[in-house]
Amino acid sequence: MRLRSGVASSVGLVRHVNEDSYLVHNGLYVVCDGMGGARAGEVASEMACRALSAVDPVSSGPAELTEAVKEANRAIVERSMDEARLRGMGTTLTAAMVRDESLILAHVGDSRAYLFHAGKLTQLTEDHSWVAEMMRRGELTPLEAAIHPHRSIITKALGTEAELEPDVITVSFGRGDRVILCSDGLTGMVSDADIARIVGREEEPEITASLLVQAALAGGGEDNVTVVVVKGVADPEGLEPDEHLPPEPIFGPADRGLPATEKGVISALKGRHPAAAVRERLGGKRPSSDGARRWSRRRWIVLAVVVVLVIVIAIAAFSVVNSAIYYVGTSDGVVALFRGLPGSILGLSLSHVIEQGSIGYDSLAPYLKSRIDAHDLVTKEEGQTFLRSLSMVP
Amino acid sequence: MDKSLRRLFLIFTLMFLALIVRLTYVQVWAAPGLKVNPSNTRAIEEEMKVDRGAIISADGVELAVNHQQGEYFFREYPQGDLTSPWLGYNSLQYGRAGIERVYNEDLSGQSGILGLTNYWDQILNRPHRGADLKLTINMSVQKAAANALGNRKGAVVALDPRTGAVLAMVSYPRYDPNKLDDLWKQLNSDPDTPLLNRAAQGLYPPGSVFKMVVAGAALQENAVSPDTIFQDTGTVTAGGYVVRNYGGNVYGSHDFAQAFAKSINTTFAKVGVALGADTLARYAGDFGFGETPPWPLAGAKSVFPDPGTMDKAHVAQASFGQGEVLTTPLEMALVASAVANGGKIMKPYIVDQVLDYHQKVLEETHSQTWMQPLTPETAATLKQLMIGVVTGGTGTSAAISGVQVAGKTGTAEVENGEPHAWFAAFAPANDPQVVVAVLVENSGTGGSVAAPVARQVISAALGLQ
Repeated sequence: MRLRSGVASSVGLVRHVNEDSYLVHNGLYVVCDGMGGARAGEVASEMACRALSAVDPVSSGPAELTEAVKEANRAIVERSMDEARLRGMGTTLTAAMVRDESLILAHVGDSRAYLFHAGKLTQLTEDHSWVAEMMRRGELTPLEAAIHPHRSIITKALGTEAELEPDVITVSFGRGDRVILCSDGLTGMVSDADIARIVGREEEPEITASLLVQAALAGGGEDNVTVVVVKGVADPEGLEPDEHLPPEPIFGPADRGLPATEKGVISALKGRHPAAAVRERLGGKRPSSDGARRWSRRRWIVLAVVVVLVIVIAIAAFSVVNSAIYYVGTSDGVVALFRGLPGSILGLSLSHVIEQGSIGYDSLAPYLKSRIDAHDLVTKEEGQTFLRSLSMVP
Repeated sequence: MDKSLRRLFLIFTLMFLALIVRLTYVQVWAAPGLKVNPSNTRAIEEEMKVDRGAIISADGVELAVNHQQGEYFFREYPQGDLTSPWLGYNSLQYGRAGIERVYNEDLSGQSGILGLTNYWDQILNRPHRGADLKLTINMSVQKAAANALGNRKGAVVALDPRTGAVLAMVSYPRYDPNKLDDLWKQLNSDPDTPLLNRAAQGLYPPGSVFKMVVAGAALQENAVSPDTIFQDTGTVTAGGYVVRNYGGNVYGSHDFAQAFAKSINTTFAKVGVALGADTLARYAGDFGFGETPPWPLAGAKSVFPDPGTMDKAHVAQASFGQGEVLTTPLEMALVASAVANGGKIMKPYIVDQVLDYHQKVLEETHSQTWMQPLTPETAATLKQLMIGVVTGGTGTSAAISGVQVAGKTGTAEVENGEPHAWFAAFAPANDPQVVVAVLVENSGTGGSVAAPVARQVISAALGLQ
């Protein structure tokens, strides 16, 4: 079968940086939608595409494709550990591989693959997004999902988990069929019906792709939009090379927008982020690396600070409590009211006389002596009452 | 459920019901009885774990303290028998008496705030502390009174007429509360009743010391004045009963002040008969006869006969404290205190303060007027008559140099043996600080036996020794 393909990508009308990446090769097509601060998203998406380019569409099957996605994920995770500025980067990935009249899809995130067959558009992938999961559970209607404030939160992405299992599906793909891979910049702006209408115009794939991007921009262009359209055009034996394509894989987009120093940071902050749940899952499983060592050193510092703080607070609390405690005892043989605990720590007396009585301990009746000897802790008032009553004894 | 299972269930249900019934009975109905059952050693054990409050005299002498052995406290009375008439005892075997009984709730820490801390002490498993008692008793006066009375049966009471605070109270014979458990049987069968506090519970004919009441009545009713003249021929007949003076003395012409000073029975018989039984009874009642002494410890009511049953002979006898008149040394001290205190009798009290372990005052006794039998004017007149007793009458042996003592002797005749010797007095006469009543059973005249005892007690109370 011979394939014809076309690709179009745009930064959109709102963002300043295009963090989407694509790969177009004869028989292998990938769309990735990157996310993460300070242009990390484009790094992640491009890394994913380049990693996938290692797959040979002629000799590979679903297992090789899956392994390639996992390898891409590991590479992104590792790099995001190593480079502080790339921490937290991630990307969606929707890859299509065509061979022997079958279409093999690997999919992570909320970019989509559609099949256009016999005039009908079918979504092949399930979005790994929070609203999509809610919809599948019946907790949201499609209409609600479309306007939900958290619709950009995705629950699965490359770069957020040490080990990741992509969805892999295989469908038949014949002459006249089309497959459309797109980032959510298209599907967020253009309805499935409009997509179907545009694809149904049976233009060349390049034109279809750019028409779809135009439609996304016309719909608002709020996000980066990337579309890859692949069409099966003839059915000789084996996979014929696409005459339009060079033998080398094409990576894109060539132009990603403004440099990071100007508006990229802002754009990145406006971009999407992996769901907190995804990041948490990642936290515990980070492989050991320089970054991890740095992290653990910082943890020790934090721990030491906390310990010192606890000790300081404990000493302060003890001092406060100690200064609110009184007892009646003797000082140089004369009864006196002490503030603090009776006794000492490391030779430091914890208490001091705050009121001297006027009677010698020895002249007291035994029952009073034993009560002084008890060194019972009392309030200031109780202690003063006791001390003064001792002095009044005839 | 199959049959055997159902039967088992039924059996268990019945057994639990029986258990519930029994526990409820023990905990609710039987508990109060079990608690006080003498064979319940647990109650005794609980009691022994309480650090019972100390009892201390006004001058700081330990009267009742504990010594601790392990987790148990044992009561000790360092002053021995000296304090027994009012202090009483706290015996695990024979219960409690005196202050130990009346103030048990304070001493064992069950009253007021200490009752609440009891739960804390139980939770923290530390000994529960009772409250201390600070008494009004002054041990130097108490010792002086005990020494002056010596081994003669009788009693001495000393109190502050201005407040009613009891300064000393001695009774003889008495007992050592430290040895109570061993002596119990002997003490109970002793005919001399050492367990009786003669000062407050012993009823005696007052004899002429009762003339304080009669003279007070006569003066206040204006029946006589101190210079009213009487003639004595040695005897007077009233209702067929012949009244004689003590010792058969004949005094001739004399005034009422002399009649009081020399304790002339014939004159008092005439005055008493002239006042009548009703008036005498009313005044006796105003002085506290017929009333339980208004203090927390035990005490006997003094007796004046029902005036409706008294003929002239009875009235004549009652006029000098014989016949059916009975009184206690405490009551005679209270009568004298009315004269000392401008006609007012203050309620006697012996516990001044209730204190916690660290000597915070939990409760304090405030002096209260009990009765006012005399006007201040009558009291002042009667005081002059009582001064005459000591300066030139029957009570000269109570005189103390430098201090004016006012008193009244009594020599109460009894059926068998020597008369009871009485003396009631207060001093200094112009500013009375102590009133004393002395009774010595079957010992002779008030002037020769009781007055010297009173003198010593007054000296001690005024700090003259």
